Amino acid sequence: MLSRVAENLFWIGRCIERADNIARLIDTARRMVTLPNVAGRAITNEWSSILIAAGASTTYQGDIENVTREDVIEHLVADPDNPSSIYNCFRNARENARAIRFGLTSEVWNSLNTSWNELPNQITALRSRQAYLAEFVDWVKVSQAQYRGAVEGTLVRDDSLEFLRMGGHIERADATARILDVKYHVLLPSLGEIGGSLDHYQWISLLQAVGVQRAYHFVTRADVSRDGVAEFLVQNEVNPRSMTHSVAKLVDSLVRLEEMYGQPAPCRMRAEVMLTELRAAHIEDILSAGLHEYLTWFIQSISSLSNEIADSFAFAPPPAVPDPETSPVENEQMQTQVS
Amino acid sequence: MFSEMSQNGYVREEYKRIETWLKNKGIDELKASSAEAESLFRKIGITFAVYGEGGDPERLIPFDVIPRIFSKSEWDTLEAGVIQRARALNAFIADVYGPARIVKEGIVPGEIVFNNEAYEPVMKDFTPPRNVYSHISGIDVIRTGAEGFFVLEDNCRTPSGVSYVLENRRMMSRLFPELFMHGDVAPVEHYPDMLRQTMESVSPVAGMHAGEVNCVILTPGHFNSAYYEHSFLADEMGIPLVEGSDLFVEDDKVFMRTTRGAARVHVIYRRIDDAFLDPEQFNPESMLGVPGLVRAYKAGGVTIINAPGTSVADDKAIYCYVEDMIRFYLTEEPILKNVETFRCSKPAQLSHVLENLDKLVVKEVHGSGGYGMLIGPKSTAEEREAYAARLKAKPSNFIAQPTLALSTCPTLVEEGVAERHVDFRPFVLTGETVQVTPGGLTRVALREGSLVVNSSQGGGVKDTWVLTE
Repeated sequence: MLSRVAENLFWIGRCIERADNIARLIDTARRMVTLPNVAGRAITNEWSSILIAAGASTTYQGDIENVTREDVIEHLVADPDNPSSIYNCFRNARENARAIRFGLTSEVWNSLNTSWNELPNQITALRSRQAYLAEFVDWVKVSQAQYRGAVEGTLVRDDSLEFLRMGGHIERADATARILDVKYHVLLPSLGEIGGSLDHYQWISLLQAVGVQRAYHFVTRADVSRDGVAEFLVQNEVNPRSMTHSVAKLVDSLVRLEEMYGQPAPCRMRAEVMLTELRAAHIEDILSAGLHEYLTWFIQSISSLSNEIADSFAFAPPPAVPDPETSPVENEQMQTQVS
Repeated sequence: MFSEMSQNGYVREEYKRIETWLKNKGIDELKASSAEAESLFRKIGITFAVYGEGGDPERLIPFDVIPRIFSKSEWDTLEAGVIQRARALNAFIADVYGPARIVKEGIVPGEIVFNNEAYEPVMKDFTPPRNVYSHISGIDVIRTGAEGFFVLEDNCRTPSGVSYVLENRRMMSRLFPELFMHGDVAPVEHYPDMLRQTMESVSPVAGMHAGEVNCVILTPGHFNSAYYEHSFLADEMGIPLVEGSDLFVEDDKVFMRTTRGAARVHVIYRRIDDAFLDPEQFNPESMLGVPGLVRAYKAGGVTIINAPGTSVADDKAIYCYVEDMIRFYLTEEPILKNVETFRCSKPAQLSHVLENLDKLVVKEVHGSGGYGMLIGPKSTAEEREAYAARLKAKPSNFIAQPTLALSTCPTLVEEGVAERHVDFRPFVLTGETVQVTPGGLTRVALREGSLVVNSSQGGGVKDTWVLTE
């Protein structure tokens, strides 16, 4: 397969997964603001936390500390200047697909094209009515599910599928780490509050945001707790949104590509080392050393891995003199430090 | 005015089924089918961008549901005529980049060949595989009467439109399967196979098996107006659709970057213009091409189709000499005639043209796509005046032709079924053999009385049938 086509596929996978995760992040904030604040303390701004967790602290031009709900939604959903806005995710996914029109089935193309065409109305509704936010988040999830269904149901089982999937796995691993890290940004809880009811609800919100609240109870048969949620989102491989699950799936894709190509993919080594480390870690150790630090390490590692995949399959370096008429679709990468 | 379907109230034999069909269907049902076709085309994404004011980058070419039909005997003449023409044009290109006999013998004036912008000195004394330059030629044919077929224009660079030939047929057989019950409409589905065989037959490496020749289509990218066709053909042939940045040259060989490493490319069907093909050789600003491509080509590392410099043969000034070429190279009489053409470079002809501007069609010698032309009978006095000034400023830049009574074909329009002017573009493939798909692209001027069929000027397309008996 042409490297450029593989790269387009990889980015379609990333963009769609990113749109989904940005929507889930916004949903996390929507749920958290309804929780009671702690008496006598300044109100924590969930919306600025979301902005930081979405990696938008560099793209957002205003005052992050005092950002409003509307500012955040506008920047994360509709801002054409934010390369990771849902608007740009849908646009880039569709443009990448258009560039390789016949590398996809018509059903996959239709799902991407339809979402892109519906987006302006969704944004209009979102701007006009506060209460539309939950519905909008659902719409993004449904769009993503339609795309995924078309891929699973119609795409030929060859290397193209693996590149689409790898983009999705990289993105989801990164996103789950970021959503989990919201907890760090939302509250640096005083000792008295840890384990208190507010703290408890916030952990529940995180599970809801990634859509695995019921799965948590079903799988762990335990109450929601800090240790439990951290383990479930970092390590539990039954959970399709856990970081370890995403990395394991990534390794699977690389192994399948090696089988198909009959030659090693250099990036497989790093992916396997990462997977081994994730599996070997004890959640108690991670928490005592600092969850935030661990997540920062993870996000950086995922970013390096993504670069190694690009190198392994010869994704093109950007052209020396970009020509707006002819240069490939912009694939700006969102990798911001979480520290 | 010649109607393809009927003369003097008599419906021609091959159109009888269309007559019955139109009666049975009725206008409303035809319009419903037409709307269905449009929505299907939009869904597939078959677009042809129109540039300029108000242009729609994802515009559809209007599809007319009433087919245009050739009888077997009409087709036999047309087929032989366009094959003859393509052979002569290839011989001409080979000659002007080689011994230039046709110039030395005084048949074609040297200045319109060697001073032509399209003449590529880099091609001089180079012989491409099988001595073929224009592998894919679109010969535009018009008709003015039962026997009156004329060639209006030769397209030897990168003629487009063949994707519509296939898509239109697929659409017709989907919407109106009953029309194909007789089983006598020659299929066009094998065009991609023929094209791939043509590409494989001109591999630069001798003795390769067909399956070992790596062929690609080189596109400027998805902003190009004909991008749909590029991706369609690549998909139909099962070969990669590459952009310039996917290719690189090493040791005078061409490779593409793939996820499994570099892969050799033998034959490139390029859909980008000469000027952008190779920044080393032509336009150094080009971001679309491949540095070193022409070097590799001349070293025999890759075959480029159509060859660079091919358009020296489809210039409108050269057009006047194609009948002479046929006699000169093939010692045959032309099967298809040229349209009478006045060369404004000749003072006597220029003054004739200036005196008869209101009756003639004037075209730029290097123009294409229906841009920059004057249609005398449809023009205003001011337009003619402005055009005359351009003519006088650089007469050699123009040719003129009589306003031809293009044949008409029944076409579905707002008011019902009405006659509209049509032309025809068959696609000739030249490799080991010279062959034509039975059919081609019929373009139709949708506005009443209009003679401009170019898709870039709002023309539509029709399915074109060749009957096998």
